[in-house]
Amino acid sequence: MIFWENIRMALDAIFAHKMRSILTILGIVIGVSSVIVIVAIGQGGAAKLSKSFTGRSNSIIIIPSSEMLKKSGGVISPDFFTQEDIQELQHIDDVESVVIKYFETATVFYQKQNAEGIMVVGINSNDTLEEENIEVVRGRSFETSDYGGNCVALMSLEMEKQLFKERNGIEKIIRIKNQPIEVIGIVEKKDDSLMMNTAGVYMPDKAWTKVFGKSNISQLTLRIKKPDAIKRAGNKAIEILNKNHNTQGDYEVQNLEEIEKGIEVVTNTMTIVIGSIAGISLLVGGVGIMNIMLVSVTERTQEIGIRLALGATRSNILIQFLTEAITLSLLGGIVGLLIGTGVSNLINLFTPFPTLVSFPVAVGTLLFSVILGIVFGILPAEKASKLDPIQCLNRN
Amino acid sequence: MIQVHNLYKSYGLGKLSLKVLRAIDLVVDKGEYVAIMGPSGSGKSTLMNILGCLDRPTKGKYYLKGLDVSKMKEPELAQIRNRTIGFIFQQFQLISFMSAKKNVELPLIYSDKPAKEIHRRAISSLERVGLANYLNHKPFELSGGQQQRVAIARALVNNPELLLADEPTGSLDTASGQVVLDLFDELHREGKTIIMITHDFEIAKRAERQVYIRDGRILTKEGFVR
Repeated sequence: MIFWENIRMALDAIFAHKMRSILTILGIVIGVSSVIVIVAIGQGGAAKLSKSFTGRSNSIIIIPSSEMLKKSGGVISPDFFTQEDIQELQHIDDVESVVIKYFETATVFYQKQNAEGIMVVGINSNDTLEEENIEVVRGRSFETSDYGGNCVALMSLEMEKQLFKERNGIEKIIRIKNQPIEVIGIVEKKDDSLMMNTAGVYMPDKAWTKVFGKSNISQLTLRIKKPDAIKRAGNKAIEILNKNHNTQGDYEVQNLEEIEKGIEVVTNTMTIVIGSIAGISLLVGGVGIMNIMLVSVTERTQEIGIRLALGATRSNILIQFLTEAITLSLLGGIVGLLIGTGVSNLINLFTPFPTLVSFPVAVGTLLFSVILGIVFGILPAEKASKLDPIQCLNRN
Repeated sequence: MIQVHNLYKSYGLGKLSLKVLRAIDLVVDKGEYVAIMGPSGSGKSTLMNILGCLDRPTKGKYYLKGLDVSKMKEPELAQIRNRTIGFIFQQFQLISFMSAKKNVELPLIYSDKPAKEIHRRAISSLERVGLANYLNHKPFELSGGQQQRVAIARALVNNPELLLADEPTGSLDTASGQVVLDLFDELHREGKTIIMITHDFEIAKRAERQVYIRDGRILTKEGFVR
């Protein structure tokens, strides 16, 4: 029999029993839509997570490995990254620019107030701020002249909260290591749904060197021209650094390995949780379909008898009821997908959770509904195909 | 058309088995109009089911168009029911949620006809029984007589050689019954082989030949082979 004829027959039967069909697919609809929503939140979160780790632009962060730190007694040595290294890294084909970062923790004073253990970051260009999605919310950012050695600083909102009760940090003079520094702007890490906003101070590199009396580079960030060149450029940079320092494996690309692994762990956990919820809810939906299909077969024995008398083979009947079960669960899947996508978009609009319904997930759910229809439709369909036509016809 | 030889049908096994048909011999020629008569429980419906390839004999031979039906497998039997036989039942046996046209289309669907042909033939078959204006009516929107005419349109749509009618007027009033019987006369004149079960002598008289069945045996001599 023609494929489309089967689909048409299934749709006829489904629409002839509207209420029952709706109730049948309800389980699948709820299952699929909740899976879509949960996966959308999960994937949105994961996408956000990786974005906030790797930065907005295509960049890689190079740090000294823990081995190196152990050798140097936990202190960042000025030998880790030299000016020659930076020159050479700058000349890698795929590298657009090299951004240097200095870290040190210190106590920050304002009059009689102080805040301990604050991360003071020295940067060599405003690119670093852009890199980390840091935006000035009040005051101004660094200007080119500030990089000439002006003792100025930007502080985070959280930092301001700790030091200035009135929230009026701008143009105030703070002290780090007894060096007076003028606060010119208040910054905030945008796009920070992961709540990583912490107290921190940013300074131009020259000013940082002046304050801490050293110029030990803690971290290099390479901005890459194209995203697909990240791995290549990262490996090249590490090769150069290991060659210059005559070491092996001492330098690590932070956001290529550790971060990827970290994200993987998070997403894997999420997948397992989602998977079990999805499995259970869809199983329930599938059992619902089987249940109603079994009832439907009993109710429609006369129809089955008529069809057999008119020349339907047993496999025709089997395929008919199987097609009906698959069509039902696929319909459930489609409706569930639509509802789930709608709800995900609403969540995206009205809550801080980012959501993302990806194409593979949509296709996967529909495919899974089809499989569900087959698995739970086969038993009722088999039962239907094995009925005795005479008994069926005598039923009424 | 039909040759039945020494056919038995029994239900159950061993001593407790119930013999429904015994030593049935029956020959029906092509184009004949035969009425099978008998009281209820005589086994006439069982005979009809076997002739219609819905049931198998326990013992004996059944040749339909020269082919040994008792040796056929399920799919072949389905094909015979589909192409060679048209069924008409007392209770019409229409599928309730489908329109008249869709009901009539069923035999064509199971013989893999192209969609256009299915559509055309279903309509002309319904026209034939005078129901051209009722294509999209559901069975419950039709009178008993109309429903039986839909069933006849369905039985005719695949142009079978043999019509098997089990008490076709049993659920109808006299007038609607007449319409159905007139249709049978017309089909008979066109050369269809018709076997009709009835317990009503008046109705049986409209056939060319009557076969009486009682306690699973055929009574009339005319029904015997030779």
